[in-house]
Parts: sequence; C-alpha cells; structure tokens
Amino acid sequence: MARSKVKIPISLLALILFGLVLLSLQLMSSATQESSRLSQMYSWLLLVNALGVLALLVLVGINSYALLRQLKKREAGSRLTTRMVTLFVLLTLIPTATVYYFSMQFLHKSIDSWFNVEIDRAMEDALELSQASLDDRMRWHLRQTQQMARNLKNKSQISIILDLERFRTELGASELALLSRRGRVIAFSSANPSEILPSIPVEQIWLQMRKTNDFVGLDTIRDDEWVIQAVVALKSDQDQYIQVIYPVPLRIADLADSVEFAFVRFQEMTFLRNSLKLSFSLVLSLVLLLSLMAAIWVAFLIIRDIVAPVKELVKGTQAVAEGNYEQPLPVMRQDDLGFLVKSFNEMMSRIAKSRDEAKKASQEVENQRAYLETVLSSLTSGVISFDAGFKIRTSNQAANVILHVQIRRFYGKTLFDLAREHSNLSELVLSIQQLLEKSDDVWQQSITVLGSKGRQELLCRGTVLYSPEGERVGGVVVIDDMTDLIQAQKNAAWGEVARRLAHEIKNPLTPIQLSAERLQHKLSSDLDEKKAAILERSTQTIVNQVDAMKKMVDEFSEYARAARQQIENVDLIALTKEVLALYTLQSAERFVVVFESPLPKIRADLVGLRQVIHNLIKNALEATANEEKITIKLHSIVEHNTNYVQFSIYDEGVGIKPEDMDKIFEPYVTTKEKGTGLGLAIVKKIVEEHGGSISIDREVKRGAGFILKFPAN
Amino acid sequence: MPVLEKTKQALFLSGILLFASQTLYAGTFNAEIIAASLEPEEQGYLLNADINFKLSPTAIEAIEHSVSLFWIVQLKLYRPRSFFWDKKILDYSIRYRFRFHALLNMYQVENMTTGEIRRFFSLPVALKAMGRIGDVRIPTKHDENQSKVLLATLQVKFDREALPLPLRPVAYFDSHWDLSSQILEWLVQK
Repeated sequence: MARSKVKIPISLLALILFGLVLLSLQLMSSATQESSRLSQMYSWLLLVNALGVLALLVLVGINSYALLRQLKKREAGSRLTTRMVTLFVLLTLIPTATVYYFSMQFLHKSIDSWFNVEIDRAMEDALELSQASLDDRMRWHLRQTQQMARNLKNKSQISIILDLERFRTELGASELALLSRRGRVIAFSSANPSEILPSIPVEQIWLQMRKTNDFVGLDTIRDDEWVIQAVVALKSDQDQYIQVIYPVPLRIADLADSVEFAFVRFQEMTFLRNSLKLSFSLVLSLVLLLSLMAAIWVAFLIIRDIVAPVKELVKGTQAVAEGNYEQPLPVMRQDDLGFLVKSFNEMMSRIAKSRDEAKKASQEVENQRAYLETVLSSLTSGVISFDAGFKIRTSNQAANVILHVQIRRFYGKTLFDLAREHSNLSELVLSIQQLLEKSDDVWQQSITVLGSKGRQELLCRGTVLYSPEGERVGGVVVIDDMTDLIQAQKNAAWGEVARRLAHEIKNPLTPIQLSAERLQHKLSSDLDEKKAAILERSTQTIVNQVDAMKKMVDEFSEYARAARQQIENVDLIALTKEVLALYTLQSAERFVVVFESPLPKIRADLVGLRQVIHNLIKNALEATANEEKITIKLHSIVEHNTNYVQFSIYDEGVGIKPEDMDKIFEPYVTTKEKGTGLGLAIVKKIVEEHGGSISIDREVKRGAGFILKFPAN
Repeated sequence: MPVLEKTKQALFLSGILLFASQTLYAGTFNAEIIAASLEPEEQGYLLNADINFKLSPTAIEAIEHSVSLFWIVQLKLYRPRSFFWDKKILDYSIRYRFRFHALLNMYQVENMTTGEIRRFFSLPVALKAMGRIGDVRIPTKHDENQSKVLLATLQVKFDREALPLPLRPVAYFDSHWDLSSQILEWLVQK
C-alpha cells in the first residue's frame, strides 16, 4: 500500500509559526504588566520563549549545517540556496539590528528619565507630611486621653464603668476600654454594638507603657481601616489603664494611603531601576531573537521550496548528460519555474524520441551491415575493402582461405605490410595496389600466385568507391580462385581427347594388325628367306606397335571411362596388403608398411581403389632402384571436423622436379622414359571420384611422396 | 516489632545525618531551621519551629525600598512504607509577607494564612518574630492519625514568583535571592 504524505504548504506553516511567535510575545508583553493575570506566568512565558528561541536556533543550526554539507559535496542548488539565505539574513539582520540598537538606547534613557532627585525628594516630603499630619492628630488624641484620665483619676471604678459610654461619646472615639495590667478587660464601650471584646494592646505597647506610662500609635483594624490607638495609665497604684481607639477621618486616611502607595511604588521602582532595564532588554532581545530565528527558519523553508525545481532541473540535466532521458521531472508548482520544468520535460521527451529514432536507424544500419557481412562471409569469392589511404578495412572468410592469410590481422594496415610478411603474395598485392591507385573504374585481372599449397590462378576484380560527394573513399577487390575451375576444364578437355582417340584410333588398329598378320601369312611362303625375314620383322613391328597403340588407347579410354562404381565398405589396410602381395614375391624387402590399427573403413569402389594402389606402387617401383625402400603409411586424421583415412606412399627415387610438381597429375606428364603419363592422372581422377584428394608431399627431401585422403565411413 | 523499630531507628538516624549535612552546606543567606517539633494532640498536631532568616544585602535593600518579600513555611507528613514511596498524608503551608511600612516606619510581618499582622520598629526583631512559630495547631483527618510513626518534613521556601516582575528572572540566577531553607526531616511518634 502506497504511503500517502500530507504536505502542509510552506506559506501556511510560516503563517502558523509567526502566529505562534506573535501570540507568545503578546502574552509575554501582557505579563510584564503587574496588574495582568498573566504576570503569574511571567517566568514560565519567559522560559517558553527562551526555549522557543533555542529550538529555532537549533533548527536554523541544523539547516545551516545541512546547507554547508551540501555545499561541500557540491550538491545541485546548494550554492543558489546559500546565496539566497545569506542575502535574506543580511536583509533581515541589518534593519533589525538597527532598530534593536536604537530601541535599547531609547528604553534605557526612558527608564533613567523616570527618576530624578526632585521627584525623590518630593515623594519623601509628601510621606513626611502625611506622617507629620498623623503625628499631630495622634498627639492631640493622646492629650485628649490624658485629660480624660486625669478627670477620672479620683472617681471610683464603678462610676467610671457606668459613665464609660458617655466618656467615649464625648471623646468621639470608636472604642473605650478600661484595662488592668496584662490586658485584662475591666470594662469597655464600643460604637459598634456587635463588638463584644475590645482590641487588646500587644506586648510592645505594654513594654513602652512601662517606660512612659502612655502610648499612642497608628494601627489598622477591620479592612485596613486606619485608627489611632491611645493607651494611658489611669491609676498607677492599681494598675488600671484606659485605651481609646479614635477613628482617622476617611479623607485623611485615603490621602495617607495614597501618599504611602505612591511612595512605596516609587521606592520599589528606584530599587528595580536596573532590573527593569535588564528585564525590558531581555524581553526585547527575546522578541528580536524569536522573530529573527523564525524568519530565518521560514526563509530556509521558502528558499528550499523555491530552489527545489532548480535542483530538480540540475539533476535532470545531469541525468541527460549521462544519457538518461526517461525520468520526467516532477512539476511542483504552476509558476515560471514550473513552466521551466514542464519545458525541460518536453525537451527531454523530444530528445529521447530523437535518440530512439537514431538508435533504431543505427540498429537498422547495423542489421544491414551484419547481413552484408553474412552474405560476404558466405561468398566463395574473397572480398577485401580498402579505405581512401588503401588501408585494409574489412575482408571475408573466403579471402582468408584463398590467400591462406588471416587478413583481419592487417586491418588498418596497407597491402605492403601484408606483402612484407607474406612474400609469396607480393606479386598479387603489388598488382592490386597499382590497379587500385590508378584505375578509376571497374578492373579485372588474372594473377598467378605460387603459394604454400601450390600454384593458384586468381581472378581479381576491383572497383573504386566514391562518396555521394564524388570523393574517393576507398576500394573493394573481389578475388576468385580459378585453379580448380581451370583444372576441371583441362580434365574435361583431356577426357574429350581420350574419347576421340579411343574412337578414331582404336577402330583402325585391328584391321591394321590383321592386315599385317595376313600379309605375313600370305606372303611369307612366297618370299625367299631373306625377304621373308624382313617381312616378318616388319609385320612383327607393325603388330607390336599396334599393340602398343592399343594399349595406349586402352589407357586413354580407361581415363575417359565414365565411373561405374560399386560402392562398399573397404578396409584399406587389407586392400593394401592384398595388392602388395603381388609385388612382394619380387622384392618383399623393399616395402615398409606402417599402419594404425584399427583404421576406419572407407566407402569406395574396390576395383577403382585397387587400381589406385597398383598405379602408385608401380610408379614407385619404376622410380626407384633395386635397393631403395618404398614406405606406405596408413593413418586416420581429422581435418575441418571431418575424419579422413590418410594413405601416403614415399619412395627414395629421383623425385619430382619443382617445375613439374604443379602439372604432375595432368595427362601426358611423366618423368619416365616409358609411360603414357596417364597413371597419376587416372589415380587423381579415381581419388576425386571417391570424394578424396591427392597431393604431393612437398616436405620430402629425398624421392617423392604422395598423400591421399579418403573420407572415413 | 523488631523490623519496625529498626526502620524507625534508621529513619531517625538518616534524618539526623541529613539535617547535619544540610546545616553544614547551608548557604550564607539561606533561611535556617534551628529547631522544629510536631507534638501530637487529639485533633492533629502542634507545630513549633525556630527559624533563622538570614537576609542578603540585596534582600535587605529591597525591603528598605518597600519591596514585599514572601516566604512559605511548608510542613509535610509522610507515612513510611517499606517497598514503595512514602505516602504523603499532610501538606500544610503558612505564607508570610514581610514588608517595610513606610507610613508607619515599621517592619510588618503578615501571616497570610491567619491574617495576623504584626509590626516592629527593628528589622532583626521583625525577622525573629517571623521565625518563631509557636503552637500552631495543624488539624489532620482521622485516618492520618492512625500511624504510629510518621516522617515530617519542614521547609521554608522563598517565593520568587511573588517578587516584582523585573526581579523574577534575576532572582533565579542570583544567589542573593536564594533565601529558602533546606528540608528538615524528622520522625514523629504518636
């Protein structure tokens, strides 16, 4: 299940943050008023705001650290973000710092202006005035009380108690009490009937009474109501005291309260002067820091939001540089940057499309090239292409086979480099080079090459390659090995000659022979002995020569005879031994047979194969003297993934001259004084009819060697 | 009840040790509880305490400038438990306001819990009077009286939050305003 993430818009987040900051600051500002209920929360608000500043400081710190790391890693968009943040911080800091500095100045000066010596003295004077006024009143009430005490001194306790209410009324007091020592109430009268007990003088009053016999003081009772308390000794010997509570007029009490309140406030403010400065500075600094940090943090968020598409664009361009066009960039906004991202995506899509088309075209070209290569490789003609500098560019397998050279090794090199390593090809290479350089059109030339495998008749056709602009960009040469074709043509010609000889010559020979024998038979009796002897010699010569001619014609007819083969599995070792048995009677010690056992059988015509072995042994015997050895080897070999049975025969005779080697298998080519020159030609014909091959072993130093290969069954 | 006896002894000993350590490390201007006792009676306890209020020069200056200072004498009673935190069964506070009355030229001690106001001409006398807590009756609930041994703690706390606003932040960081006492603990047997 895809995880969905609810993303709060940055503008909303910023608004909420600033709302919270403002609320917190407003609360703190309200809390600075003593009268406010929030004043109880002042310390907490201060702490919360300080923690807020700390939290924002940490956030700004984390953001700055992350930005520095991005900058160090040279991440996309980091430099732009740094520049924007720096600019924002500078733009915010400069006016804020200025306002802060002047606010602090103003604040300190304002607080200082609240206090001066005149106000201080005035406040003290006002208080002293209040105190003096109250002192006068207290002294007056004390005198009143003392006067009453003197009046009551000679009266009995009973009459005092009875007249207590009257005395209180006369004095205008709110309470009058007759007390014994230690505050025991003897009698009391109160203006407030609900009071059942008078106020008892405290220990301190009794202490003073001991010294001065009277006391007057200011006190508060019931809801901070100011009263003057006067205590006077009535009869010292009886330890009786009279306490009178006089109310302070409301107006005077209010004025005194007001003066005292103002004095206390002023005193307090004087004491708090430095603390006030510190406190206001603290609040102002918190306001500044909180606003500044919140602004910087929001700036980080906003700038990150602004830079995000730019970052994506940079990543996109990097991806494009790496060849990745597939990933479209997310369009995060609908403004100019969003439009830019959209355009970029469109551009990428077009590039990707063009690239795909180019790739497809390239693939097609590659397919064409591969097809061409396949065609070329399957051609039996060798093809070599050259660039404008006549350096070899490409070649096919057939070229390697025809020239017996791995041409791939010479790619990028000239034909001269090829000729340098393979001297037998120098004539061919030089001819091609000259033709390529000089000819402007298609050319053709037959060139004979004497290679390691013998003489080759090569037909070379070449043409120059031009660019569409008409510039010469290289050439191509097609080489065909015509050796086999020419050989086949020669063989066909000789076959035709043989057939004609058989037909045209053999037919008259018998009548010639018969006529000669008839002449001998008819005339010998009629002639004298001498003439008869001449006739006999002549007719005998004719008969002999006709026999020789017949034999020759038979051999030709044998050469030209169409193959009438009876194919069967032939054990070549057994056949060789069988044929050799005919010769071993004469010269058994001359033959050396080396064979591998078991040897695969071959599919062959037994008669034809026997003739091959006969011809080769006969040939070897004729080529060697009595003492010289004839070696026959039989082996199985593998060539081009095909199993062959190899029959080779070596003699120690005169050998074959190098100039005869290439035409030794042609009819009428013989190195012997006697012979028709058809023996080896017939051998070659029969071997090839069996799908085999015959070649001269050129590595033989003494005598001659022939190698025959037959496909194994 | 040997286990309970041992517990009581241990508690008493630890109380003495704690008190000794508190006295040793008491700050220069702290309030110091010289002695305290809690005497059980039928409906609760009678608290007696002798507290020495030592004011810093800053605090004296504040009083001279008519700034009111507030202290809270806080008594707590716990029932000791072996395998759990001690259970608090009583939390009783007496709040004092100390100020200089400019009009009367006297130092005023106001017990805000009872409303009693006393005025004195000299500062040491006023402080001494405020520090003498005599026979303050502390009522308790019925079930709180069932325990035989209780742990009592007494502390004098200076109320910084009652100071004028500008002074409050400073008071938390200035040792001159560290006018509270250490906690005194002792065992109360009924």
